Amino acid sequence: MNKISVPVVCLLALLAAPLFAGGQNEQSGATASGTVTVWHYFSVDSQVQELKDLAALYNQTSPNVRVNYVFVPYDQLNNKIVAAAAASTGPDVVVYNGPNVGQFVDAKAIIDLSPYWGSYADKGLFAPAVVHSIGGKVYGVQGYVNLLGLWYNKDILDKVGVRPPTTIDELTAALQKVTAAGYKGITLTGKPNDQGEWQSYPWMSAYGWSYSSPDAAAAQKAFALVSSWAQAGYLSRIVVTWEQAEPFQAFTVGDVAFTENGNWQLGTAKANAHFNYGVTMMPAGPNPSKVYLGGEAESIGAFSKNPQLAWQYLQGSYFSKAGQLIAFRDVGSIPSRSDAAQDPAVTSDKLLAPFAQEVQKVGALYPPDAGPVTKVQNAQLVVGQQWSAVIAGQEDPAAAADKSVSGVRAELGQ
Amino acid sequence: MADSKLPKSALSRRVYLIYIIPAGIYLLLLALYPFVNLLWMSLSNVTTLNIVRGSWPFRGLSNFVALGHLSDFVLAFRNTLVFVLIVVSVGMLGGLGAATLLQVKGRLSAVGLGLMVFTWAMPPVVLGSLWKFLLLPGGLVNSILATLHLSKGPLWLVQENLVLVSVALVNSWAVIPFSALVYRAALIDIPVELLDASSVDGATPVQRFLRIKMPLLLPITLILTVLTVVYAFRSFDFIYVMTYGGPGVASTTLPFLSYRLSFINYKYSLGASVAVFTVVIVFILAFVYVRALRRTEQT
Repeated sequence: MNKISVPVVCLLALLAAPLFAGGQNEQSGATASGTVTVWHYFSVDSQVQELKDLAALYNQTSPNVRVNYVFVPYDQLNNKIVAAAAASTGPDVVVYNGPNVGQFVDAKAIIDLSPYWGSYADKGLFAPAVVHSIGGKVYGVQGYVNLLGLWYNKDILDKVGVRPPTTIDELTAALQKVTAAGYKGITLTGKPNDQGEWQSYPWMSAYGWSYSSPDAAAAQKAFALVSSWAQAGYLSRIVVTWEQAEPFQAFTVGDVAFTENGNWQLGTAKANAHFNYGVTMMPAGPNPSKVYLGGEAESIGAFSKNPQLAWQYLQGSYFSKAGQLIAFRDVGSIPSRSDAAQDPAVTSDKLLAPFAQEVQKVGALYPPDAGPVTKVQNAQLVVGQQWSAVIAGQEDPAAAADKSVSGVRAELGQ
Repeated sequence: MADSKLPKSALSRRVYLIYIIPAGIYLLLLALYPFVNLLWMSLSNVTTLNIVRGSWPFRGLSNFVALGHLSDFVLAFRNTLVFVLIVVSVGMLGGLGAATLLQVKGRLSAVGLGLMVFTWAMPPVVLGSLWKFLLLPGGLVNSILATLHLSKGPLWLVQENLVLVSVALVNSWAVIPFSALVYRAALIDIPVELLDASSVDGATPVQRFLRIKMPLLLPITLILTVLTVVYAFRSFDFIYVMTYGGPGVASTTLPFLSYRLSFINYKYSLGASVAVFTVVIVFILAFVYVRALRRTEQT
């Protein structure tokens, strides 16, 4: 009774093997199967195309896995992730605004990626700035970097005899010329949210603004600049109602000389802008214009039914060289892997060269390193609201600067 | 016979109770539980660290005290009152006017009614986006004004003194169909004999409207007012889509402030306090109107 024959033990072991190693077997390469649900906020055609292409790339090695993309509006993604975690559910993978990683960690909505990241052979190729760690644990990694530059309509500049500006003074002079010739000057977003603040920062920092030591005089100069543009008609005040994508849509019409927008608009420009265009670095003021290094981070949801499969998807899409080149090709995103960033397709792109220069010369942490993430983001919102109020003509630059300083100090407890 | 009816009557009452159980459960789960949770949140210190798991430390009324020191709260309260006033007055008067026109039977009236129902059924997010385009500097509204030489075209969603009024008017426009449909039903219910008799007695159309129709419409007007005030007080969609509470904070109302504090600033307790404050105001207003309604019915 107590004796069990060797063949029986072998048979039992064979039958039981999938119970213990089933996850591993299920996930590996072509045999992996199941569904990976990915929450994202991409709505621009080129970004949607990128998602499709990344899924197709991943399916080349894992044909039996279905990638299920779920669109959630930008403003609602954070809340939905936190609410889903409260209900012990959520996506397998979430693609989100990198700086929000802190909120997701607080809400226990994403898992610690360290075990996966630690054994990832290519981790050394990623720039440290794109790996989001809290308390020594990795929670999210960016597959690319996004940042702002000054796009210009080359046809308009050629007609009025203006060269792409390198300083704010040159830009203002150029705006005067192009508007005098009957064209629209510049578009950007003045929405009272994080997007407005994101676009205000290069101008603010050009006059010396920083969150660690907020200076009213610096803020006032930046506010006075956009206020003067709005008063002169170089900048339409309606931009206070525009999302970040809308200024670029207006630019692609062809009658706007400049727009402040990101490298991720490359795909939209190629598809919709039927004129010659270019990009230059954000023009400098008394100081260089600092540009936030943004981009979407990718994390695995805390309630993913199959985190191993989710990790496999990330490896085979966002984190792979081929995936990052897809993001570059479709959208214009700058790869975060050094081997992808050095690919000839990237280095030979004239449009992306100014962005690459900005990364090296004026790239700034986003959010700024001035305190806990949530507090800094609340401080940024204060500035975004004042930026909006000034462009609308509701707030005097001096008063807006004072409110910005007091608001930032109150939020950061300075 | 009387004895045999008693158990049946009692049974009927029990059956009646059984019928209201589903609605009771629905209210308990989807209205009462969230509200109690909201109330508890407004009295606690809730952050992203403890909103999902962990206890919520009790803070008493400190969140409500903090609201008093929040400059945006005072502005949002004032904006909300202005917003409600515009939506209620324009929505109700517009509804009454539309109902009076649509009361006449005919093809035009049928088309008008169809359009009203269509507008009423449209999601506010769609209507808000649509009006955002119509109110652009070069949009349809300004083009019409320019064609009629009435105005160069203001910046409806930008100018400080216009932005809140613009969004409130769009919201009123969305309210008009509901008011019109309710008023139309009430107008049709007014006995024709009464109106004919007043005409024979020499009453003018204005007199008929003021002396006969308006008094008969008073009960429905009070009910509509309560509903519209509640609707306007909690209005969020149009502001979110059209202005995002801006420029700056110019069109921020209490519901939007509650949203911003809770889901942008992640100050959940402060956001909950704003929401509770709004609910209390709505409750007081509803209570006053319901009492007024009862008095009217009694007289």
